[in-house]
Amino acid sequence: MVEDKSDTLQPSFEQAYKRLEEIARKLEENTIPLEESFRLFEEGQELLKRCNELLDRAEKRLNIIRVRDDGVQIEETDLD
Amino acid sequence: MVRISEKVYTVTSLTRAIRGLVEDGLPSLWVEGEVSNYKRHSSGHRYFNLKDEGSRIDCVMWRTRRPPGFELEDGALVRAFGKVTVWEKGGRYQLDVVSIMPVGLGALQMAFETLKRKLSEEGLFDAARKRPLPRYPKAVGIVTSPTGAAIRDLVWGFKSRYPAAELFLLPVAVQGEGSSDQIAAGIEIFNRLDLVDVIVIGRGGGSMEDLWAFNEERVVRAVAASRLPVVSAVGHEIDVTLSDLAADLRAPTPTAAAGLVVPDRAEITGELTRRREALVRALERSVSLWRERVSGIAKSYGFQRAVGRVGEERLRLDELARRIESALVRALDVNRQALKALGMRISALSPDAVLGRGYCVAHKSDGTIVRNSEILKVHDELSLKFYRGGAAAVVKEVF
Repeated sequence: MVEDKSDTLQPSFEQAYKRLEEIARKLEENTIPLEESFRLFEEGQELLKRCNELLDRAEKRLNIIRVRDDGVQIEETDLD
Repeated sequence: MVRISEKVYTVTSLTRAIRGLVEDGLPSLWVEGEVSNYKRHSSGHRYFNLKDEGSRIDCVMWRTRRPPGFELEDGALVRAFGKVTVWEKGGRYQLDVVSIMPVGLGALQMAFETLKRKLSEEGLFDAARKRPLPRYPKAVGIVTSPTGAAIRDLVWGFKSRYPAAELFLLPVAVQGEGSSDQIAAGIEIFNRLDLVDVIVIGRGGGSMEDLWAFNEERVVRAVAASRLPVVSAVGHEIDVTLSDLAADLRAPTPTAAAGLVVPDRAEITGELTRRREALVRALERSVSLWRERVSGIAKSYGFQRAVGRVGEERLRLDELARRIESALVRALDVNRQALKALGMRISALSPDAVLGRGYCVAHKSDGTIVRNSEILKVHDELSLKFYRGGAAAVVKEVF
């Protein structure tokens, strides 16, 4: 697997996007304390950044799975 | 040798015995013949005969059966699939036709129809089984040939729409000996590996024989059993395989598959921008709402009363300050008078005051003040200082 460790701790695109929807809804409800609004806003900005990062990340490889007797082996090939 | 029954049958029991022999003795089967007396009843059921040079059989195709995919008419040469049933009341037998096709389609088509019917009855193609695809897949597993047009189209489609998705290819043969085993195993391997969110199986266009692996039971069952959602992208738009039917989603072509599996990056970027703006607007609204609330509180009776209380306190403080100040002033006044008296007492001691009373001071030429005549000699010069003015004098006599 070609994913770095820090990545697994960060939310996936789907999780980040879902949380963003939640934040927007909470902010629009206008029932939360002002400080909470600012905190949510900041969190939202972070999530947006994360989403954009994930989108901008371009996988340039095609991972080919080779089936061996003792399991599988992943071979990376460049697409360009 | 002739067998004779000792039992006397009723017509009904005889017919029932015949029914048992026919219905239990004959499997579901294909029968080939020419259509005659075709009638479509207003109820939707279809009635006709199948005949050849030697015989004929009554056929019925119930309204609930899938309609034939071609024009059924007298004289048509067909193959009908169904089961022979006996109608006890009329003492007649007929073929209960499940599906029908024109002759000339060949063995593959028949095998296709047979398997399709079997798996359909098992519920493998039920709409209720279809699962939604992940909206933003992180990784896509592809089961296809590493050399065909399909993999090129798939990779291009994914990379141009959504480059963030990681692609895993499990290379397999998509036609010929062993291809169906490889495709089915590929689906199973992706399900075991936990690498991808969705599987795409497929190949480019070809004849029915070329696409056949995707109609084989082993592959169709692997698709249906997959824990991960499967998208089937086989051949061209018009080619529908059993894998397509069992898959969670059918893509008309490999090129179209990417559009169904991953979102368009440009669209999401636009959506994210809109979301950012909405977030800012929501915060602004929230802040201005709180501002209104704060000013509302400031105007409220309770708050105003609190402000009033602060004013009262301030008045009391001012009063206190005034009292302290006047006390200080009074204290200063007392001191000032004492100082004045002190000043008077001090000025009484000054030499001017003494001189004023008529005394004078005598200094010797070296400046010494004369307090005693013993320091004087005759002819010493003295400087005398009066209350106003002075005089020079010479000592004439010392005593």
